[in-house]
Amino acid sequence: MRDAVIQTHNLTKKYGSFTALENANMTVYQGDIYGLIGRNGAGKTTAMKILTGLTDQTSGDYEIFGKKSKEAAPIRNRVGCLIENPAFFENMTAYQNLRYYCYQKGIADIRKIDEVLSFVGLEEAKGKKFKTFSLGMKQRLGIAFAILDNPDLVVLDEPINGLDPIGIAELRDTFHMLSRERGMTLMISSHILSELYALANRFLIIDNGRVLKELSKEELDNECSRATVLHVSDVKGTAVLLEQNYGIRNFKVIDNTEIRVYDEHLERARINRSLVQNNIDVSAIYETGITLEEYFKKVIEEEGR
Amino acid sequence: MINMIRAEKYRLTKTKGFYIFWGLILLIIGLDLATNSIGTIGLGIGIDEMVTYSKDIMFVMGNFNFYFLLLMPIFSIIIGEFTDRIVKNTISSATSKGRYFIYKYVICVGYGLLVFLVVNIGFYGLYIIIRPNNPRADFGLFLTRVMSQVPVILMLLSVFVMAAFLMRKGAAYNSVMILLPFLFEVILGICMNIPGLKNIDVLLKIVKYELSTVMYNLGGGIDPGAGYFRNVMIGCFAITVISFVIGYRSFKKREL
Repeated sequence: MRDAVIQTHNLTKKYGSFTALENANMTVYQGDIYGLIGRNGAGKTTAMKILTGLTDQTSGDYEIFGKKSKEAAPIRNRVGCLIENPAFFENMTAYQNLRYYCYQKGIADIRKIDEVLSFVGLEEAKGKKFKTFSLGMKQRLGIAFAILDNPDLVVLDEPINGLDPIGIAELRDTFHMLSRERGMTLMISSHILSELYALANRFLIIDNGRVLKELSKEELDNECSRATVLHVSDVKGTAVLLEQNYGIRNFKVIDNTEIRVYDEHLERARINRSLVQNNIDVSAIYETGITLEEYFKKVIEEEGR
Repeated sequence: MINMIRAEKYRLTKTKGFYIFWGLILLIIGLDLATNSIGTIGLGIGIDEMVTYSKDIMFVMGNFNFYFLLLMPIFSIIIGEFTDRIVKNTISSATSKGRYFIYKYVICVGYGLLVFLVVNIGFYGLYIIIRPNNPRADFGLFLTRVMSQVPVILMLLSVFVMAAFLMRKGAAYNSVMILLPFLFEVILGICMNIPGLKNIDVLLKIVKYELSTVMYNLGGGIDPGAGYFRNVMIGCFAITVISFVIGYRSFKKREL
């Protein structure tokens, strides 16, 4: 079992009568790339702000590296963040801005600055003032700042906003590398579902301040991917037949009457015939499958009811 | 703390404001020494009475100038980080809100006091060099007068830090803090011109404890009596503590 880096317990944040986050429970394990999926105003940034100490929760609690919220201040230096828009001193260059934070965080090895700037592809622009940066460059500098002192946990709020497609692809590789080679745990929010899907291994779907679902990539694949749904009178017999006669193991028993087979090349007519020949009644066979966007909409609609 | 001071020093020296600030100070000192006369902003003080003192003591008596001068470093150190919400970077990955306030408070107060002492002592040194034949006070006496003003400067810095954390916007901070003494002077002037109000006790006390008058009296060693110095010290201490507590508590609760 991997160690939990972040664990929240009924985390709630209210602004007057407005509830930005309601009883949110989530667990981020070491090495995860944890994606927060939600519409604008869903509560993603609020959750991140609470976890990074920018705002206090109204009720509930969280643990970060095993420390409860009130004791978390000393371990903040293990966390790198980029919350909302990247903000730096406008009249200072990229290098000077990072140098300032090196002093602040007590980073003696200033070669780290060149290293992270090159990591995010800003080595050429290190002498340019922040105010001259494009949105994409600002995002990159924000990411460079977040990984400056090689933190164990990186929290990035909408880091791919404003980036061009090549930039997004490069950053995706960067995030994977940070996770794989440096063992960093990443928490990333985005409303660009396809990108988050390509990045993360675990997901939290959030809407109107409520956590709707926390699931792994495999679970998400199972929920979204195309499947042949079989409604049969004997699921056990069907499972045995699929395995023994057709060598199919990629299926899931949903309930007493439903099996889902995740095999793109399934010969439905042959399966149907075999089931009937084995005295298993087939009341329906059909194909199902939804895109990530459709699944997201479905979850929101289901929970909204 | 050391890291924060080093970071702040690095950043301050990269800003134009830092050089403008020191340039302005040099201009004031330069003009005073070149013209052999002391220029100051005083709301309740009698400039005519100052001429009976030596120029170095007059400079100390006119230290109300620091009200306006010290607004600038507080602006650079605190407001600069609230602009575009840069402060989030530090709070989310380096320290807590409470500690951040204390760090900034210590840096502002430390830097402000350093500026105050360096400028005054610097003036004394330059005065000796440029005007060696002019009458001047003994350095011990000069330093005593300067040091007697330190609690007032400390109070001012504490109020400025509180105001910066409460207002967080450059325009609000500058307009309120710069206009405050003028507003005070206008209201006081109006009250003093209303027959019947001129001699009431409270008004006279306000004039006596008004900031430029306090600096003038402390700088010149003028004691208007009735425990004046004691009252000034107690008032400064109380305002310093209250402004620290208000600033700290409000920032701790602030959403970023």
